Amino acid sequence: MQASEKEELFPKGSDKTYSLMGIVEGEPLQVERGPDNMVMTYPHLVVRELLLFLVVFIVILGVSMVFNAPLEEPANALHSTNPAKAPWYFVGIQELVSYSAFLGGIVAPGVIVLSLLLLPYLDRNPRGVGVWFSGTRKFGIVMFSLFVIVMIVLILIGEFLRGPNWNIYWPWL
Amino acid sequence: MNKATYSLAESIKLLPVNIRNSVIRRGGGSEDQERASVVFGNLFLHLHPVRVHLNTLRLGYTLGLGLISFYLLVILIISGILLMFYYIPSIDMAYNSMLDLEFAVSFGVVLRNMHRWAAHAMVAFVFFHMCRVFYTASYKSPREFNWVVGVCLLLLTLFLSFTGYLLPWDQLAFWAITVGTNIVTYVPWIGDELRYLMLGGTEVGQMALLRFYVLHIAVLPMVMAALVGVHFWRIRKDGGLSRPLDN
Amino acid sequence: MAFENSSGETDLSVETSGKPVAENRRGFVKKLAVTALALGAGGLTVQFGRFMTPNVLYEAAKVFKVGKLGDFPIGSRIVIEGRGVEIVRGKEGIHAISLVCTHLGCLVNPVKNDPEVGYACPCHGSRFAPTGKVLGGAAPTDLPWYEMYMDHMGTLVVDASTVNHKRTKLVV
Repeated sequence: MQASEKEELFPKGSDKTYSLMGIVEGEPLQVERGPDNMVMTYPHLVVRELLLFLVVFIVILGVSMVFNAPLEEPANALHSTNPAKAPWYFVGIQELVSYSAFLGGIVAPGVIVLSLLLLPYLDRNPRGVGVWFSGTRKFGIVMFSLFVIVMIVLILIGEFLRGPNWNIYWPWL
Repeated sequence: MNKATYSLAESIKLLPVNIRNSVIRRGGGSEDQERASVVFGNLFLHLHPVRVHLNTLRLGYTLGLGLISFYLLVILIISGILLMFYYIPSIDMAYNSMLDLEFAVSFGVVLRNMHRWAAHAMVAFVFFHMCRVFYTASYKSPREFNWVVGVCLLLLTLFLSFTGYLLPWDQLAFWAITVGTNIVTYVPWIGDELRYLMLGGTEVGQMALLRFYVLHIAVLPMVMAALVGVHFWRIRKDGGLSRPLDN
Repeated sequence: MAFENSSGETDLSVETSGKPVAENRRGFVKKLAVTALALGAGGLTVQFGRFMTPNVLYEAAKVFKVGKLGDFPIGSRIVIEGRGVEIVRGKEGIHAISLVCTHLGCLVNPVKNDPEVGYACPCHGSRFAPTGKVLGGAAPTDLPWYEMYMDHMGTLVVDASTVNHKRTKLVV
């Protein structure tokens, strides 16, 4: 009944292989999306970016209001602090340096930096792009995670388990 | 050509509108055209393409780590420039500047805290960003070079943080730099010369403070800004943020 | 000019037994230009290095007086503040030992009342015997002894620029 009505409303063109079959109320399947899942940068991305800036700024400002940056006594070339620690992100390296200055301070960082620089040229397999922890690249994920975990463990040891004279001490004892 | 349009009275009446229109580049037309012109009509937004893939908006994908790193850099540059108004890079005055900032300068302590905490946060977030890029395999072709630029940015972040570490001229700073620059002496063949060049002498003193200061406020930030520009530009040239293949 | 377009070269190369003359000449000029550029850039780098290397240092002198012999009684170990040396006087003589850790340049702390350990480094835990010999930790070499002598006024002088490799004590 309805179909026949629409046939009359939208007659099929003689030179066309398709025709309009009907019009229905409602949202199209892809709201505000282009044919390939694209959206306008403004406002979608720009607004999110500005919001993120506000969040970052407020967090940093809040932390700065509550916690003061460390400031020790003036520099004194006559007395080493005990223990003397590097900034936390270098404490892992310092931990290695306490075993051997050349291997820990030169070779290990050199190898890390070189392998990071060469990584995309050594891993040419295009699988897994854009997917978190893609199962197609287990080896790489395990190796990188090992590197990250070792760095974090070294930093934790150097930062929290090293006391005077760089001896191991247990904070809870 | 309406003569009235060019009368002085009319010009004054339209002054706010005309000034606004001269500053903001606007494209007319449909809603989408207008939104597009917001992006490419603005120097600071035009690093973006007019349209982005939905995946770019997924917070669960990027976690916003790269952008957070960039924002921390912006906070660091602004707070750092403000701190420069009160900091004197001399071994007699540097520590006093710190005390001044802490106790005498209005908001000095907050600015110093922001600079310090944002610096720590930036090192962490640049590292997290690198982990995100690794775990999403975003360094793969055609984005290899941008990964290399990113590694350089990580190193620059570390150097910037390290050079900034000496500036308060307190015990923490002095001995951390003494230890750090002594590691350099273990570089084969040129270790001692390298340290001499870094410190501008044989011990951590006035020359070393000045060198670290210049590196911290001028040389490294300039290199950083240039590389950040390349990094962002390459994101777009390499086809936007990495994403899984569309179904 | 005709040599410069590719068709001219092809013609020429046929005539001159497969060796394109223009390409040779152009290659030579190119090599010359690249070499000149490389030399210029290299020279610039070297001169930049010279600029960045200070020729005059405003640092403490390496040769310094430490005091009269009477200031150092037998059996004493006295640290000279600001110089990073300790003056040790025993029965057989007196010597100056460096307190700068050979590992990464921290100042080692003298350890008293321990027959085995003479010095301990607070930074990375290196330990040294009273003679400066490495006992443990990451330090690669022993603490050096510096040359020491008495000037004509009877004042003890330490020359920190000269290492006393033989570890001979100054007999007084």
